[in-house]
Amino acid sequence: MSGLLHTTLSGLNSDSYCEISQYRDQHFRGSRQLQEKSLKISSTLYVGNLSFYTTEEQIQELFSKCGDVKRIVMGLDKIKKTPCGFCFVEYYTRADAEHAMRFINGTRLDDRIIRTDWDAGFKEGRQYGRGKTGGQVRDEYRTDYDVGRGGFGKIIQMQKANHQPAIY
Amino acid sequence: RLESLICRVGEKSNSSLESNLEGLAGVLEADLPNYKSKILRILCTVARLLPEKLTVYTTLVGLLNARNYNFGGEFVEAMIRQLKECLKVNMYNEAVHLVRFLSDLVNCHVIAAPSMVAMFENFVSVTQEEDVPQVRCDWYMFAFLSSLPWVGKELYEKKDAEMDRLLSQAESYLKRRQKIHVPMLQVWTADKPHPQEEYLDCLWSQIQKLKKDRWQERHILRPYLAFDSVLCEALQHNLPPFTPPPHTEDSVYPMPRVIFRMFDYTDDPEGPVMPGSHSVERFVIEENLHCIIKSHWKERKTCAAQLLSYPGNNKIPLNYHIVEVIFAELFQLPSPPHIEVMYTTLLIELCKLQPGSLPQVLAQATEMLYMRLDTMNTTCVDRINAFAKSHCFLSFDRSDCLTQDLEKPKPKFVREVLEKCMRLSYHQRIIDIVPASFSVLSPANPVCIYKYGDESNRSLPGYTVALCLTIAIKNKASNDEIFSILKDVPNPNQDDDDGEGFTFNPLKIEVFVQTLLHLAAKSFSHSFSALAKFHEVFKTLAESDEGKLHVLRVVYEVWKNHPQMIAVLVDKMIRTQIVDCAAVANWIFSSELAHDFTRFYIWEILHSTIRKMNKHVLKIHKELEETKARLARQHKRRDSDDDDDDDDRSTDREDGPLEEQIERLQEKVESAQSEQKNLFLVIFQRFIMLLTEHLVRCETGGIDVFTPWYKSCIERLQQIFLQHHQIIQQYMVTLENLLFTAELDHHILAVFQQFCALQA
Repeated sequence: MSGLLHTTLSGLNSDSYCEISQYRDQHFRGSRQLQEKSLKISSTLYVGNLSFYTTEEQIQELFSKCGDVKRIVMGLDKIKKTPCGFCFVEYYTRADAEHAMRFINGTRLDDRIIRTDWDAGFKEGRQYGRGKTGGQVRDEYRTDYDVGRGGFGKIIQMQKANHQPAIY
Repeated sequence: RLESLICRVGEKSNSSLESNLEGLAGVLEADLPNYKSKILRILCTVARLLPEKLTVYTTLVGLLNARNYNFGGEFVEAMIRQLKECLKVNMYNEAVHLVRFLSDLVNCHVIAAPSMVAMFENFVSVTQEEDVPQVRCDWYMFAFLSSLPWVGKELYEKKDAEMDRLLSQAESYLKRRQKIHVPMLQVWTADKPHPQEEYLDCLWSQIQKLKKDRWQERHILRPYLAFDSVLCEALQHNLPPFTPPPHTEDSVYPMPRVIFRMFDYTDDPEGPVMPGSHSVERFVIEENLHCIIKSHWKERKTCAAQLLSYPGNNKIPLNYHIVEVIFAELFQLPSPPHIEVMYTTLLIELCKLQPGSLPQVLAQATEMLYMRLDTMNTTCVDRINAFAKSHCFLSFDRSDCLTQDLEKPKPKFVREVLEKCMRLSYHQRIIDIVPASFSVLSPANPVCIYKYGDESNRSLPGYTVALCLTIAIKNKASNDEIFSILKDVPNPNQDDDDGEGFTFNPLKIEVFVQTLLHLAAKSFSHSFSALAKFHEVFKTLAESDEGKLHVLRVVYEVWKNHPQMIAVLVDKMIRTQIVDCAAVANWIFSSELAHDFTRFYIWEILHSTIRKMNKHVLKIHKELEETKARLARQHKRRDSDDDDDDDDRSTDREDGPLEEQIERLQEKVESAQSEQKNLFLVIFQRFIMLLTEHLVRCETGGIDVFTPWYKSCIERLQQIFLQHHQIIQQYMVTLENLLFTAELDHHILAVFQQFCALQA
């Protein structure tokens, strides 16, 4: 029975924080298969629910706990070109990115619980929000008041400006 | 399916553990005819990987052995094979678990006690071997002693004379082994309130106490007791005689450890009493908690839940044990077993699961750690630093840190924590929350210092060129244009008539780097773009060693208020080969940085630099091995071809490119290794110079050597040795003959001797 030491038990290898999520980038150039393959080998993370005021420095400090950070790309409002609450963090190795998924996802930065998810890799253009008003789509529709993300959601803001009752 | 059944037995369930085990034994017995080897494999693996459930699985094996004697025999054989394999590949930590498993099988009537004693006799006789590293003997002694909590009673009952002999041999070994390495591994230099004992000494005290208590051990869960009537009937097997594999060149034994203790029975007066430091219960609890972390560290919620559901909850102050074990790992020297950030996140999860009790224990712990900062190893203080800011550690009634000299551990610690807090938020926030009386500890506003900024600096040499450069860069000038602007900068060194002064122009470097960094000061991304865009200029200006050093100096001058920026810039400059690792090392030890020498960020930079160097060497080595493997495969393919094509020229042609590549890579590896060695030598040399200076100054001035600066410096040197001991071992001859010679002050030499003692 050689190779006893190579036996692993799938029950003990649980690493659920590193699994890929359901999200697929609709603008991804390539098949679903390719996207999934890229996600499984990627060392880039999408980071969401950041405050608009969170800086690159803060992100660098937090994420370098898991390894050397290769690059940070701040997510920007497409029109205003100011940070709009997300970013990409790329590590030199996937192993470091996995640590971030295990230990930084779901913890606080700037007093907000941030979320990390695998990303297929940064491409020019992906740093911009895809909402109609320039920021992220989620900020178009949300109804809560979030002082770190520009207050009310964009649609609500416009309605308030036009003195229209909010449509829920 | 079998895997899942076996792995999950012992987890929380509606039925009792005994009935689950009984049920599982029945299922497995039925499956033996078809799945025997699979079951053997799974059981061997859980024995190795789930030591925290040791007694659950030994009971299971006991039940199977009672139903099927042959299976029991095959299992024991497989375990011995696995043990031998582990030892061959230096998997000593897992081997200990296997030994313990085997010894508990004695309790389950699977293995006959006398044969187990015989195995232990062979283990203990390793201590009589000559010319072997002490760490080898240590391991065999540890494997023997650490199994006794489980099986001591049974072995003593059956073979007391032999056991007495073994124990007295153990005692004499422990008395004569050297412990020079211990100070290097201790978290605190003080022995009060909790002595930091060497791990074998502690274990020996625990075993001695256990023997005095007539081997009564009540903490370990022993499911096999419930099956005593069934197991008694089983036939036992004899362990085959086990000869410990001999020591070889490739053997790497575990490093010695110091047991970390921070709590005792006085810390939780309300709750259950904490087992004493020399009780065997303490040992077992700590072992099991460490094993749980090892099994589940990747899954923080599961890990927290598993820790909190450790049996014995109402008889032991479990929260205290958990916190102590976590800090023990966090502070372990040289490095924690797992990535540091895991422990912070794990503590958060634990507090979520036990919001009513765990945060208080944590608060007690952090309070105590703060109080004892003065005697804590500098490297460990760094680690609390990292964890402190995430736990709102600071409360500003710690006015004791104000009355002290700012270099003392407590004020220093508060400053570092505030700096880290600032990095995670922003400067104004820190200013707002720090009371005025503490403002001396606040971090500086991280702004860039541009010497050519003000009109009043007109008279500085290079001022006009700086202005020119600013305009040019803003107008998207190319590298060539930058070069031509810089041509006008006079060289203050040109009066020296040596050819060296020709390429190294400190003023050019100053003007260019100051201006560029100032223009790119807005963010890290801006600065990185600037480095990339003008890479050519940087490379040319920093061609010589002095050039590299000067670039680093200027970076520091510009960004001394923003240590984080300095760190990321140095990192980028190494990666883009503007400076090399040795230049960074020399810069760190330079007089310009003396003021910041004990600050955390400096050591972050140095350790990061060493890491990059090490990774680089490994990477090229890997490339070389892969290319060699490709060549070997090519040969194999050729050999297996049936063609009579043994024309030498054609094989050469095929091999040519790969062989060339291998030769090139070999050169690259040698050059990288030589650079790596040089880096360490530079670091050690500079440490020696710095420490010697201090020691001489103290002697002539008649002052005490042991200042906060000295403590910090010596401990940082120790950490370099510890953290990279495997690599540094390669340089022993050079270190002994060139640097750590007998003429050196004994304070410095002691560190080297401690290091040598580690794997001796």
